Amino acid sequence: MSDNTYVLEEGANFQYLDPQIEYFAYDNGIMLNVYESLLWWNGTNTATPIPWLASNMTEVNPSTYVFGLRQGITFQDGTPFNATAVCFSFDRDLILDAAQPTGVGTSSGWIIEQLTNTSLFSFYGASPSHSPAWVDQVLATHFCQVLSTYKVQINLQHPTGAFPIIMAGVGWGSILSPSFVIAHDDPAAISNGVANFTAYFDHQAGNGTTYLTLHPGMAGTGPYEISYVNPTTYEVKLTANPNYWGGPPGYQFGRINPSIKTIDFLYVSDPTTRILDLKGGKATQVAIPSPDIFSVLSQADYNANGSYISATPGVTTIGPHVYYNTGWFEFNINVTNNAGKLLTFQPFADKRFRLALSDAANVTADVDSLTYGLDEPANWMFPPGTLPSGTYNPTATPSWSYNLTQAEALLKSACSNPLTTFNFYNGTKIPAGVINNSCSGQTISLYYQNSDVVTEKILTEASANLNQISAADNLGLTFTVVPVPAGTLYTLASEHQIYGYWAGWLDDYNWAIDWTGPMFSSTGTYPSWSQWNFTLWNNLVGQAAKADQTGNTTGILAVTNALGNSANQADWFWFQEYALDFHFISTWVHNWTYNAEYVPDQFPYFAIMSFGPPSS
Amino acid sequence: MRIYEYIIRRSVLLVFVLVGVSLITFYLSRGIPSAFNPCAPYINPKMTPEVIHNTCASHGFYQPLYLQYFYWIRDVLSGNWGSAGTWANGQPVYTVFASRFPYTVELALSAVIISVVVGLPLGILSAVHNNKPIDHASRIVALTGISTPVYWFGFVLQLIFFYYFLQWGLPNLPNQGAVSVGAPTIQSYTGIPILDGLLNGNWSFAWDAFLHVILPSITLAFASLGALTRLVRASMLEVLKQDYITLARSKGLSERVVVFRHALRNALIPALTVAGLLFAGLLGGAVITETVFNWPGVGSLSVTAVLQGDSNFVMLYTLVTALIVVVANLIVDVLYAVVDPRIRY
Repeated sequence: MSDNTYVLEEGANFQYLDPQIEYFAYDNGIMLNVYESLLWWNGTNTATPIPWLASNMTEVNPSTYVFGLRQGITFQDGTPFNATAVCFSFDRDLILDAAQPTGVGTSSGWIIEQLTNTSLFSFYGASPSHSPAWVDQVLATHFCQVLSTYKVQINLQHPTGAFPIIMAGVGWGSILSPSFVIAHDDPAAISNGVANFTAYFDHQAGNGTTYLTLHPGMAGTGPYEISYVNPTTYEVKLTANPNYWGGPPGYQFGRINPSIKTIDFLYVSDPTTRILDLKGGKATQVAIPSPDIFSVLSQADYNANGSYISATPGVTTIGPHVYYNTGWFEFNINVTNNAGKLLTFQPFADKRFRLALSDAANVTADVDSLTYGLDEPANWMFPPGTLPSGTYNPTATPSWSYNLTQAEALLKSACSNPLTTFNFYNGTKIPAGVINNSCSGQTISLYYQNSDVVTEKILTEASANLNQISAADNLGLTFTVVPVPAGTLYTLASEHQIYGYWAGWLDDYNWAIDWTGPMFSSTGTYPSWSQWNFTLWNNLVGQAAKADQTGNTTGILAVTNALGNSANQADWFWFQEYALDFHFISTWVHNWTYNAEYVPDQFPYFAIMSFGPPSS
Repeated sequence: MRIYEYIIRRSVLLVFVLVGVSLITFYLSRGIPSAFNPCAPYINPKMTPEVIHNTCASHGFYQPLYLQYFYWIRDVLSGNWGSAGTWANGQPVYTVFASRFPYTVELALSAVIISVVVGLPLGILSAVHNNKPIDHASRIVALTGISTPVYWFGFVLQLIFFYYFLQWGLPNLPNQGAVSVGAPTIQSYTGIPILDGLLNGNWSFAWDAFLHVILPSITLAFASLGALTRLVRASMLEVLKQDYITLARSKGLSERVVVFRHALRNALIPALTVAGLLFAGLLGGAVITETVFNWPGVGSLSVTAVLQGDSNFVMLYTLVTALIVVVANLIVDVLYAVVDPRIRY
């Protein structure tokens, strides 16, 4: 291993290297070492962000924040960090409108957009013209205002208690060098060495071209700069920024001066090859899938006392620890065929079917057998560590449990006394005779994303058990399991053409509201896909939003409890697992830090790490 | 028919073959409901149904299939094969394919060279020493090559020549990639690392690239040299029974002259066919070998594209592979006629 090169091998490849375009965990891991934000985290402190590029933050009122900015910081291209750069960065994020190059919802700009006039943006249902007039409207929201060279004001139209957390976000919160970005995105906007921001924004609006997606870049202030990108092999190399400003005074790990000079991100698709590289000293850190961990760890120690001990000289492990990611099985109702015609068989409109499926697999055993404790069975939506503190409820009890006797009774009941009516998505009752939930000859297909081995095991076990029950009791019902690519899953699910599918939520920023909307609002992602529509949920989500705007965390907690319990008791979602993070690294690495607020925490903050002989 | 007339006729037929392949591939990619959703690469779970619908509509995926095919053909003929999804950074599909194809060419060529260099002499020796120990040994090698799972063999080579050689303090071979991490960036003329190294006059780069191709090409070659060996052996045995060989021997010619000057040329004709088709097949990408050795070729790329449901890439890949196979067949047939004057079309 080179003294100055940290080689990190992953089974995924980067998608984009522009912090305001990327929206992928792997990309985040690269970005957090290259770009910085006004606020960030003090080492391993996960509770409260600290001023980072900002020297201080003042809340004038819940809708208005003033940031004083640190002076003397330069971007990697040598230009000064100042208020103009801050407002340029936020304006760019808004004007890109999460619409390019891959489409709405595929970058994180919506997280900033939600704080301002949402009626202007694609993610919130608008059809913006992306014309210069539209750009003027966006800029007129004055989301970011330059007060002086080193002072900005942020104006919110939708206050939130998560504001400091959002400002500490990788991606949407990143501050970029205007001159570098414009020179590479739209050189025509530069005249006589002066960049015309308006011309640049007019060009970028709805355009889709940004040169930061794949190229080496020096647009950040971070301790590393992107020095090499190979779009064929997906190799990305970071080199230490020789002019890094050192981080804020009082930082937990002191002044930041990168000791490791080069970080090499490699895409190595085969886990066996990655393991060999780690053992052979060719890689410093590698990703190993849960089922393969005992090629490095001691199975005997795990079997004896559940501990994770490296059995490989020169390799150590870090974790497991929380990673804000929940997986569940989603039930669709109002299911149609691909011509839009309502199917007569609507099994999951009937709670008995939902519970029968949920009771038919031993989720705990399945999760443990494949992940060896590196995923946890889930008891409800919010994973441990979700803010505000108390959101996760360890005593929450779902209505399901592994019980084949119960599953059989439910299935028999559902088939012998089938549901004859339920509500359409708009709340009106379906006329009698439209639905025929008789089981005979029916097939229920359960969809999941291919390569998800945990969900595959759970659903396969449930299907097998239910098929046995159906055969034994002559119910005539068949359950099948269907793996598909992720995109296919989302299109089928969103068009409610499948009865049920695996879903998951990796939080964008650690705040309960990031879950409540997408999960429980009738216009949120999952209810709008599954065709649920409950007045109760909409009311609760509205209450959560109001509580959030007034900083009422007690109110937020009350609502999240009500929502989670409702979902659990009516079995609207079959919660399955929380993912945990676990890492395999060389024993020559020191100061590997974990902070759950890095979304996700698959990648370390290299700037405070160093190489040295293994600790004894 | 003269040979050039034959070539022209086959070239015209080639167009029909490609149209047929494109129709089948297009239908399989977009025409079968729920199978291969062309919108899949553009979708993520943060989107509402309206946004998903608008995204798919903006790419034309709700139009009638025949219209979609027409627009696709129009775009392809103007050089636009569409964009890959985020899995390939949203780059144009053609760019993604073209950047990886030279690596597949390098690997395929290396594997074929090893197959021919090893398989040919082995087959000849086998035939000349029929039913003797060397023939039996050759048979064992050939059958082992055909029977051994590629994935396992590749991993074993990595384990021995990369990992254990390192543990034993011996110079070891690289286990993955086409060049070393940290290799200098050089001017790319062909995209093939060894060739580009030589063309740049950068001998260490070329040598590094050569070391990297050793293990994956041996893995690939081992599977195919068995078939080649057995074919050469059978062909040689057949030729060695011919009357003109008996005549040559009765004239007092040495066995060496009989084999290499009289028998070999005719015995090589089927081997030429196999080698040509083998190369064409490998140009489609050796999926498992490329995955095991993290070789940046089109084989491993195609797997990712399929798993991501990226129909744009799959259609390009299928058409190019069909083109390669058809052209390779044509070249082999032409060479067949050149080598054997008895062949007429």
